[in-house]
Amino acid sequence: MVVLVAHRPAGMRWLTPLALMMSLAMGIAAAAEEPTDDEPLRIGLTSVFLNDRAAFLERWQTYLASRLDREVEFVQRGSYQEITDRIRQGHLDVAWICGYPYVRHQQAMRLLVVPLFEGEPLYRSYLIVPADDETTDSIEELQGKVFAFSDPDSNSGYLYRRYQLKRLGFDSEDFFRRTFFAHAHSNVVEAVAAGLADGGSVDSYVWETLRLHRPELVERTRVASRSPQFGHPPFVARRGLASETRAAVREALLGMSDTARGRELLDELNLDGFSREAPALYEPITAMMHYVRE
Amino acid sequence: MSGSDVLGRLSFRYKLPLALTITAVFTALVVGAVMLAYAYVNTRASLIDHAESLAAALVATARPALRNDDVWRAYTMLSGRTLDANESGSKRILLDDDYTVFASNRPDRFSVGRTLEADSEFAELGGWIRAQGVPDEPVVVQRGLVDTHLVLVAPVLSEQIAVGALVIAYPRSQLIAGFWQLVAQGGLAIAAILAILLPVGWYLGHRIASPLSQVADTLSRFGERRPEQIAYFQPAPSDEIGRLLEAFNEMLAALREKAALERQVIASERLAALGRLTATVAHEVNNPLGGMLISVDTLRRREPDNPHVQHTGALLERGLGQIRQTVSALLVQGRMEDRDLDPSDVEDVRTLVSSRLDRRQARLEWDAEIASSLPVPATAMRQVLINLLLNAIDALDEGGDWVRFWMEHGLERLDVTVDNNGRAIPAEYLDRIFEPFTTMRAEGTGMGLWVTYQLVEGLGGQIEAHSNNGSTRFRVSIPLPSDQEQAINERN
Repeated sequence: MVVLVAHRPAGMRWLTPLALMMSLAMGIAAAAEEPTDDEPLRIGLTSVFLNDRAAFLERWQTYLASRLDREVEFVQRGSYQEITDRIRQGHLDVAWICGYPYVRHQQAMRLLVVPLFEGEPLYRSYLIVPADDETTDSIEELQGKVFAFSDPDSNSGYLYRRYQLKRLGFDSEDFFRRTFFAHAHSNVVEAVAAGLADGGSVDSYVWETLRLHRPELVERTRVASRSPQFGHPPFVARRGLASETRAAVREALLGMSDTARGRELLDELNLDGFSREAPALYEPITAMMHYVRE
Repeated sequence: MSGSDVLGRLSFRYKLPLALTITAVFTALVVGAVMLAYAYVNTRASLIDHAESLAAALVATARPALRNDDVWRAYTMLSGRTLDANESGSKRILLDDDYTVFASNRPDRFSVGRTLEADSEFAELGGWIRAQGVPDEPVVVQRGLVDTHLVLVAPVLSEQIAVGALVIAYPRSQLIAGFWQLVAQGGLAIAAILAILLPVGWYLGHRIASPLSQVADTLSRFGERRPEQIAYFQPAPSDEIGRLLEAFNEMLAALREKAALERQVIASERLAALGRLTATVAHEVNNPLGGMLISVDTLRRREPDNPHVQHTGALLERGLGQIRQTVSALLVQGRMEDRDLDPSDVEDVRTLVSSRLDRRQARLEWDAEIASSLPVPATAMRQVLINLLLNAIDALDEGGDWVRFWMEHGLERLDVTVDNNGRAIPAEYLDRIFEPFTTMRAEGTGMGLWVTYQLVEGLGGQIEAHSNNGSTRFRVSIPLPSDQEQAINERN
């Protein structure tokens, strides 16, 4: 049962009266229809560059908790698959997932917000090679090499490359000598930097953000080619989540750019904010998915 | 000159410390070498142990990674920083069932999908594994295959079937570098130990050897110095050297005693010879002297009016009289028919010398315990006492202010001691002090102590003189005849 507490955390000052009223209304409504409402709001994360940043996640969690006036629990798993499965099964309330699983399981989730990266709700897939490979500038040149994908559920790290190769007339299984999944974009960067793979496919947002946090790692890789833009991995809510809760979470995320602490957190995330977008943003991914399946 | 000559000649003062030093250095080197050999074997063994336990841990993860074709997982497992923080140069390679590299911690060198044969250093090892098949259990491969590395090959088994192989290689240079590091550390430790042991050994050796060399030095000086000029050693602990010093001291004491005895014997023999000589000469002089005196007397009586005869006669009489005086002084009669010594005789002597002492404003300490008469010839004894006391008083010329007289007797002896704190008698005089015509005074005749000595000899006694910085002492000891002897003497 959620009740407004007398001692509000400092962040509460920034709550607009509207948001306050909304969260109050949501609390009452949620209490009426959802017996699990006093449990924490569980948010699943896949954007794996965050994995090793427990202190940051703690602060973000605290921030969201104060905005939602409800305990928030971040849930991390080793693969996209597990997070996708868990939100489909209703074990997670909200998740930050890739556009590819979103379009695959659109009937099981609702689009909440889309991160704004470099001012747009868009990102790309980067083809990266080791920095000492100074010539490669297309995926064709990596034929017969070792290639690192990030995750089978990743658009930028897998789907797009399969699509691209199929368009070029290749099967991604035979095209490379060997392929493997590193299960995170940052791992792909590491694998390519170490020379374990001759090339890899990563999320442009992750690569650019890693460049800020771990320049010594990213310097050892080079972007050989950039894909067209796609809808940025979105925050989604499970289908059954109360609309008030959904709205509150959406507002909390959208409102981050309006508060100083929210902006600090966004800076660390290397994001400009969040925006509401229509599911149509992900249609190109759907199209690629269908093409690849044919 | 051979080495043993040099060693033989070297003083113990250096030989002993040197021996201790050589022993310490030799021991340190042997212990160091043994420890290093042990450390090398141990380092190698512990490296192999380490590789084996690492392999056991890695194989458990390698199996699912191979099964799931999970190169990334295998890579993170093999390159885990925490696995092998110390062995930065080590190589961990996972081969799949085609003997191609599935993953390694050095993908830049052993890249995925290539064979070990592609690497020149590991080519032979690759060939060996391919020819041999994956071993059933972890083996350390023989050195010839990869000269530069210590290599362990462990199978990745799935239900007894090898699905891959794990190769763990440590550069030998690292093993050797580690070994040299141990050598350096060991060397430092040995140097530190020696830095303590050497001075201690040198000091101890020196301490043991220095009494020996002192004894040797002292013994070598025995010829050129008299025993009393050689100092005794300080008493030492009762080890062999302590006993040696003790024996040396005993020997020195015996030698000193012997030398003193010899000097005494020589002195008394010389005095005895002198006594016989002077007695003979005096006798030979005395015989014609009597006749000559009678002749001169007769001549003077016959010619009373001849002034020339009278004058010459008187001259001759005075000269011959002086000769007789001298001769009779030389001819001391020890055993004379005489009365016994009486307490009053001693008092007379005291009275006689007191007036001389008063003039010098010196003190006389008098301690004579003679209650009754003693069977000692009184005249001779009085002469002895007077001579000794007057000598003592004369010695006060230079700074002395007291004379001590001490006389006591038992049943068998009469002992007299005369001390003064005046001029000391130099050692060269002391040996010849009782010989006639030996004097330290310009006006002295040198007859006083000679007479005293003859008298004491005549009485069957002993006389000795001591002189050192503070005082001079004469001691006389006269035997008292027993009643029986006295009776015989009286009858004679």
